[in-house]
Amino acid sequence: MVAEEPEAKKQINEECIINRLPGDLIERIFFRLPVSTLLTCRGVCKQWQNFIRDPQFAASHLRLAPSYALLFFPQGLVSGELYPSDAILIDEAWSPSTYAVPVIGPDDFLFGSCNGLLGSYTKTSTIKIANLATGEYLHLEKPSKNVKGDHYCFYSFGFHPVTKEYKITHFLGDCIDGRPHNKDRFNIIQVYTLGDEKWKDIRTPEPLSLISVRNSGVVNVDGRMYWLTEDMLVSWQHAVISFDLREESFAMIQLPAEREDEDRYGPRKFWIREMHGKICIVTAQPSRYDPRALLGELQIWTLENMVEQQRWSKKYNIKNPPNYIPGPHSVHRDRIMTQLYNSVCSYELFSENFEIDLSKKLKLFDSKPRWMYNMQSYIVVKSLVSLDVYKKAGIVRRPKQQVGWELKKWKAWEDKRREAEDIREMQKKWVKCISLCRISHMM
Amino acid sequence: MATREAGKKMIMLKSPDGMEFEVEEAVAMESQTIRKMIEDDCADTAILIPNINSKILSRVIEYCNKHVPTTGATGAAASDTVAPAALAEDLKIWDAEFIKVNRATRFNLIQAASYLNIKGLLDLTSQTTIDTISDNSLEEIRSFLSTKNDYLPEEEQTIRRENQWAFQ
Repeated sequence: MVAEEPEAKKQINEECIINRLPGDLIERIFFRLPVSTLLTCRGVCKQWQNFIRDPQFAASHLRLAPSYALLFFPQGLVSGELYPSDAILIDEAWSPSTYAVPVIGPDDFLFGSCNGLLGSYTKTSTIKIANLATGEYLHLEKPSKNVKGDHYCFYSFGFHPVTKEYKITHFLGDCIDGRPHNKDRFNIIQVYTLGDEKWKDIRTPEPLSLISVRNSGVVNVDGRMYWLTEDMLVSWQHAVISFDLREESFAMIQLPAEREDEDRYGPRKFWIREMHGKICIVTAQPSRYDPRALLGELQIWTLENMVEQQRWSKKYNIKNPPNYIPGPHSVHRDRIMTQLYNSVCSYELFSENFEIDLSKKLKLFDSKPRWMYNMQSYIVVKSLVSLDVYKKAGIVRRPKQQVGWELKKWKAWEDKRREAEDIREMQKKWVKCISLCRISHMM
Repeated sequence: MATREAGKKMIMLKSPDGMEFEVEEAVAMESQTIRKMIEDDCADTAILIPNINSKILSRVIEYCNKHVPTTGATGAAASDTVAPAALAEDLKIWDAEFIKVNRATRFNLIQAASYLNIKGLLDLTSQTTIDTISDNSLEEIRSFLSTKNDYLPEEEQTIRRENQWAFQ
């Protein structure tokens, strides 16, 4: 019996035709398979499992993965009714997929995306990091508890390409004992590196504008985080602040020294966005009478990284602009995304000067009844990036309740709401009952 | 070097099982590996192709014959010519027929395409494998690739449980 065993093993090996192919050929095939298929393939045999789970493979697979646009609508009240957070994926051919993005729960607020991982703020005491395609997730303790006025837009999620570290950042409003001291300013950025034991406080060189962060957004490009701050002394009274995720150091970048403001319009608005891997400043003047309606020209400036110096170049000048350019990623393929009236649509980006021609819009879907100006857009990929190695840290929490995505989407959320309503109804009945009892007692 | 027709250089390819194939140089040069040998002047008489048996080699030659650019029969410049759309469509249909082979042959073809460095054939064979893997269930993939399941039942359970979280 014992002597026969090696013979049997040899036969098995010979049977595995694909396992005899050279490694580069297997890679050639596996790199081009989507994540869902690869996860199924892990079950074929141990060799395949090891091969697919290898972080090196995940990294290479990621580089070739097709990108999607993910449009996120935060949970919110619309004419008195509460709508859950929701997200829609748009594929390379611009068709909205029916895929429900189950990793974004009804109470989650998306604040960042990199390498197929999504960072979400929750109303509980944790931050959630989840892999869009595999569904793997972890919950982290928030950096500060019960901060008044905390908001998901004060969080960001980035990756440094050299250190390969993922970092979550939080702009901590200037507060004493959790109460806002000066709610317009912040002095501290809290940073958490995935896998670490705790959050770190990094002091900014000077107090910076928190309102600007909320109004104009945050982007992460090539291991640096960028946002806008108000500065009365510089051109356009705004400047870009960058935060290097490796060095954990700050730098200021001046905006282009050009000013063409029209007196008849309101004060200029600014947004920071990412387009094709570059930092962009989107700016336009609103109407004096309706600060949401943009008039005149919408300018898009990109930051070109020349050797040893950075330079702004005016990329687009859009006449008759839409009122809202979603971010942090505004462009998917060659088209800019926007929300017009009750629909989400995209426009082709032409050469420098062009006018938005309403007849050339590509309508993606109806956004009704969602509120118009809070949709966010992210460029995402479906990746195999695993969170296993980060789960050992003491700061990682087990969520108290079971995540809902194995159920029908929103079912858990609706059930919970109904349950809460039932309890309230019951309480009312009890109160009524008790008071009736008392009355009858008295009589 | 053998010559059959005026102006058309011929090359002799030998498989390890002793078969010899006489092919036009342009056809043989569809393989980057052979092209390099010819350009480096290492191909005086016949080229021995190791590891590829005569059955597979004849199929590879059949593929190269079909895919060699038709306009200029000689010279490397011919490969730059873009085939008209109709011709490309014809080739696609021909490719689809060509790849209808059993799985052992297909894997041998992938290996041959890889060794001989024939980009078109490599793309064709790997795409067919990708399609097969993408369209089938775990059990079908296993049986198609004759891969032995070496998981213990409980290990397989774990993998399946993890996959529950995965989305299409």
